[in-house]
Amino acid sequence: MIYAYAFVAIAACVAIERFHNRKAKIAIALALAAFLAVGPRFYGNEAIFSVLADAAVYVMLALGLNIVVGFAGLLDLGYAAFFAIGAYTYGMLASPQFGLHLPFWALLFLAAALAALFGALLGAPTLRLHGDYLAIVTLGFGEIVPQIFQNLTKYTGGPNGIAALDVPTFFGHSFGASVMPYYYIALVGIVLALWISRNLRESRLGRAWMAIREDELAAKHAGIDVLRSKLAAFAIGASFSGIGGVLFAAKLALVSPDLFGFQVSVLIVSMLVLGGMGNIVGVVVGSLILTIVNSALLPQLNSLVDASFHTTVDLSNIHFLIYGAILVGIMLFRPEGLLPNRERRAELRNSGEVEAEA
Amino acid sequence: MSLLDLVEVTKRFGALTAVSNVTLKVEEGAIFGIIGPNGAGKSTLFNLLTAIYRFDEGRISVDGTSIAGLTTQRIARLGVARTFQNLRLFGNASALTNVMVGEHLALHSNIIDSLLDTARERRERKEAERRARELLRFVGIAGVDEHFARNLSYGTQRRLEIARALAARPRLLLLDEPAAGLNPSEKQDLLALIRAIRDTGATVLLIEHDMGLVMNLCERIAVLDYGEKIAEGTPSEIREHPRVIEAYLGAPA
Repeated sequence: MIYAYAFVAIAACVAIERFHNRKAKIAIALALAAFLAVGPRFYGNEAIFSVLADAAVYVMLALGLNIVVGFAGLLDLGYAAFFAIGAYTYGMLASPQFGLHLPFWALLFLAAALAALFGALLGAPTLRLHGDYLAIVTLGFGEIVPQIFQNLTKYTGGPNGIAALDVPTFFGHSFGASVMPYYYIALVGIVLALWISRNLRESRLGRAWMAIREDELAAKHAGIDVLRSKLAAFAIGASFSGIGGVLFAAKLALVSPDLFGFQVSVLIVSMLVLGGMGNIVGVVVGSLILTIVNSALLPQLNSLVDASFHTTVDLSNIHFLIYGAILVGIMLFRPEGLLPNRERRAELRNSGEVEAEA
Repeated sequence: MSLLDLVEVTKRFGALTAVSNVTLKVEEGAIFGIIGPNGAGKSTLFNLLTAIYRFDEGRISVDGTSIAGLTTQRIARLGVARTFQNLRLFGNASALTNVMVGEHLALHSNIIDSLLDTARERRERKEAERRARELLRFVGIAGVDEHFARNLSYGTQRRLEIARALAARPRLLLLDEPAAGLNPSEKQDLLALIRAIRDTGATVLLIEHDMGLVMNLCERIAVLDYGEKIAEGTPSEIREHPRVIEAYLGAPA
């Protein structure tokens, strides 16, 4: 069952969070990576790995948004726009739409660059705004982008979107109908996203973001270029989403504007809140839980309920009710998220030890 | 040439003139004090120096460079660092990280270094961490490195803020009421610390309410009252200045 994979992944994340020893953390992470990479040889089917591949894409998105919201403290409610830009990059440039069939691998990079560019373009005029005002502008941006794709019918296929997207190839081997390549690519994507997130958090830029988040005026007095740092956060965060968009579109072989609405932005923000904003491992756990609930648990719950009570209810209609309940519950009982910034404290302790050893 | 040069600086808020026609020179290497009753415009003056407010008239220059129109972060690049009357630490970060943020301008790693954790990023981080620990020791709070800033005692937070300001290797350090809320023995330590800071080559300009401290510490003092500079001189000159006595004790009946 899919829960076996999800459970192992989440348990490993929690363990990484709990251990204070850097070597133990790395060992668990490597074991998890090996498990996820080798597991499919022994157990599971296409349906499971299809859900897991989607979950992995969402983990990437959540890690990207975490840079904007968790690190730099900029509430972005229109993050799905960059997801859409990534997906449409693939949709328009690797499909019969224009007869362009650019390679998947090149489009991964192009989409990252385009999303980053649009992130910066959105950021430039709006980053003087703070808090609620910024959130509302990003909300607007998140609404506008799918609208544009919906109405540029000539280029984007309008409300129907673009179908029959190219099936990617890897050194001449077509991915075919299998979801496994997407699963593996998304895993590699997560590893890269985690690595970059960690690098950023410990970097000069990461410290500048922390300072801006905590006290913007004091940050300015330290000589931090606040606008540039915020732009960098928007651009880097958006680029993760652009890559996620290409993967998502290629796997689905379809893009349409309704895939990137407000609910997607809200879903990703929910993942951060659930997992523990700002904490990399927490974000991974939050996004895994919500994707699994969304794509596996609720559909199965549906058939379970129907079988038990001889009904035909459609629980997918109340997805948002369930998300809402989860969020309200978390805010009431654990407002810092499931796995809050424990890691940061632990790492600080570790760095002390490392110094002492050296 | 003086390090800080104010010429006929005026700042108005609507009908209120918060700083009126103030001319002031602070020489390099000095410990210079600004005193005055509450509402005299001292903090406003500091806020003009770091471009939190823009002055309406006059000129301000740091080491000969006019700061008119410069942003706060540009002024920081000229070597001006400050502390705040109501502490502005990064509460949810460790003391060490607070000081490391202060070193921002002394580091050069760019966005690519930060993304990829390049050798330069790692080297600079290590060096920044080492210097931050050194600064915490210098201001007398070694050992609090890993504590969240918000969990530290008030006196420690004051020192931490000074350490963060020093991390920028400032030429001009602005201290906004550094002794506020400190007990007598902490004030003595602060006195020694500020002298030690000056001995490292920085120029110190401070606002203070504690007369004893200012008279003891500063080589020159300017007195503000209702936004105007009413006196300037050495501590003994200030102590006997009739307008200062009037401002503090009220006009003779």
